[in-house]
Amino acid sequence: LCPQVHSLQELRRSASLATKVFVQRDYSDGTTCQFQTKFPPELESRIERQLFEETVKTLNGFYAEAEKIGGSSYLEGCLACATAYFIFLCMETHYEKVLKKISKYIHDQNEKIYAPRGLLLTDPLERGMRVIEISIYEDRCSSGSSSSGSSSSSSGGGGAG
Amino acid sequence: MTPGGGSGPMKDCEYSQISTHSSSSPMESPHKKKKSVPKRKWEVFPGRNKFFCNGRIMMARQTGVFYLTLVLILVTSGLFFAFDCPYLSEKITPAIPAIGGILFFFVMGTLLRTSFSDPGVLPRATPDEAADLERQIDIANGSSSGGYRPPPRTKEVIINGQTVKLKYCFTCKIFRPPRASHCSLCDNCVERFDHHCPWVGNCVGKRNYRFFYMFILSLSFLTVFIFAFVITHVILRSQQTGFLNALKDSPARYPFTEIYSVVCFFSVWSIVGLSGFHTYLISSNQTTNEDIKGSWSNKRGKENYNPYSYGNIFTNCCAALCGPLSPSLIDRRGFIQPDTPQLAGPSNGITMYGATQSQSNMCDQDQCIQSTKFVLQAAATPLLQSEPSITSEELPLPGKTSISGPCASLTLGQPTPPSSMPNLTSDSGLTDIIPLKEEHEGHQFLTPEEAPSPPGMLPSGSPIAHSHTMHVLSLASQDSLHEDSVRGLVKLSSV
Repeated sequence: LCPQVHSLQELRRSASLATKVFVQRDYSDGTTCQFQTKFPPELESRIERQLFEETVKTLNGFYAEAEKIGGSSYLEGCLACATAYFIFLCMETHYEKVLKKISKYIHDQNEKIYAPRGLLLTDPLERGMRVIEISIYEDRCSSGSSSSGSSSSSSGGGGAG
Repeated sequence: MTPGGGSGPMKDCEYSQISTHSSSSPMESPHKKKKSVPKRKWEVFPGRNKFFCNGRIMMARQTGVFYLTLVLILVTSGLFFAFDCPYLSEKITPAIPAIGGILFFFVMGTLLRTSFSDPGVLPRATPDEAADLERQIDIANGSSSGGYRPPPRTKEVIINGQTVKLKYCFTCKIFRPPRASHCSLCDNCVERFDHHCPWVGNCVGKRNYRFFYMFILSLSFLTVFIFAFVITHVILRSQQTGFLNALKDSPARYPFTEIYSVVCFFSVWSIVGLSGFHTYLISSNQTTNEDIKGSWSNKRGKENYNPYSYGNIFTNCCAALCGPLSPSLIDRRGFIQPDTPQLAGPSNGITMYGATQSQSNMCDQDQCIQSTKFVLQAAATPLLQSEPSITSEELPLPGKTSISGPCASLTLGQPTPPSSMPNLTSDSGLTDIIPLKEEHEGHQFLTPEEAPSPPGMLPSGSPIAHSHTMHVLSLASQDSLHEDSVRGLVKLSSV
């Protein structure tokens, strides 16, 4: 294979940022945190549609879990209220726990799926939960071969899609 | 930079923005200082907030009324515990000071939590994000690029069958999520914005609404409790010695009984009324902002129903009070990453759209505009007296002092009911100077237009609305004047 970027560190070092794509929030369900699953046209040549949609759907699932209003969140809320909210000084909230899971998931996705294709996901938390920022990199040393490389990988993955 | 935050109303970063007016990314100074001390993000926070304890505590700029609240609660409770409790615990039961103590700690805990926490501030858009949005807006509007009269920037979404308009915030350069609003006092967009409360010295929004509600609820119980037992104390004494003697004794032995019972009496009505109002808001899942604007009518059959309500009162209450607590989005204590500067445009090789360069200039202009406004506030009085010639070039004089006017007015403890003052008062102050400060202030004045402007509460509602629309339409014409006015102001400030 041509020398594509293999890891996140190599991506940052050897590639130059070409452009950024922003996946906006989907407010059709209210103020809960959900992102649009619409496939951005700039990513057509870089990644398979299915992989991208799966990533966004998984993230949406995580956020829905974090914001779920149910038995455990009521318990947490009542306990916190009873202690005049001092308990938050020592305890991590359910939401924070899920955010850690999300951060780990994004890191894994970047390593396994996005960085090999010259893409990088940014955790929405760093962007005020407004957008999923996807940075598209051009491989500096071999920009011609990276485009041919990605087209070969997309043709390989296209069969699965 | 002292982490105490009490060194003055302005932070050092605003001065540094003025001094670097040629290139001016606020990250320039941290880059130079990078070798010595890495800066934390709260030190360069663009909103008008004060930070304490190295970024752990976040409040609005005007905190005078908050100290008044603290003093009132502490003094009233202190006098109650010192003078009434010994008598009552003997005569009736020692449970009275115990319950009073619990209520007092709960009140103080929730008050401090409301005042010190992040209400749900939305961080401003990064330059890339802002540029992308601009591009999408241009595409959506079709037509000539920019021009002098772009249509107002709104986006419509359908939430649970109801059409909701999302407005574009010119200060933060984002489309505000539903229920978010821009607080002109703190200069931040806040999620699920309820109102700006000077009594707690902070905005009330998504993240601290439940603390605020528990604060006013527990405070109502505390004031009713204190008031009831003060009356009981006086009655019991008067049974022993006669009513007039009881009153005569009390000032002599318990000097401030009458004063603080009067304070309690007035507090009871206002606080209990406020708690009742917020109980209604919670049960119908509305914010103060929405209720005042009359956004959602109650009748289900009509076009306009509240899309956020869960349908029944119990679920609404539980969701508001016991729902999950979302984390702070502004990461106050994080260190600024030197390799990913937040506002530097071309330096990291981004060459995506032609708009990028102008966007970074726009951001710089924003910073300059913000910082020059602060300079004007500070320099208002001396300039008024000494430099009439300079001001005739760029700005009319009365505009300057009236900027600080609305900010100061809220700290003077207005007679309006506590906490029922959304950022209206400051808006009315700002809108008063719309006709005077047309050039660079038009940019800022869009936000009061977006902020709540109820027809009922402002007596001069309609003329203000007219001047608002006028300025919305002529906004972009002022964009081109921004650079000139900003340069002029920077020259002015360097005098």
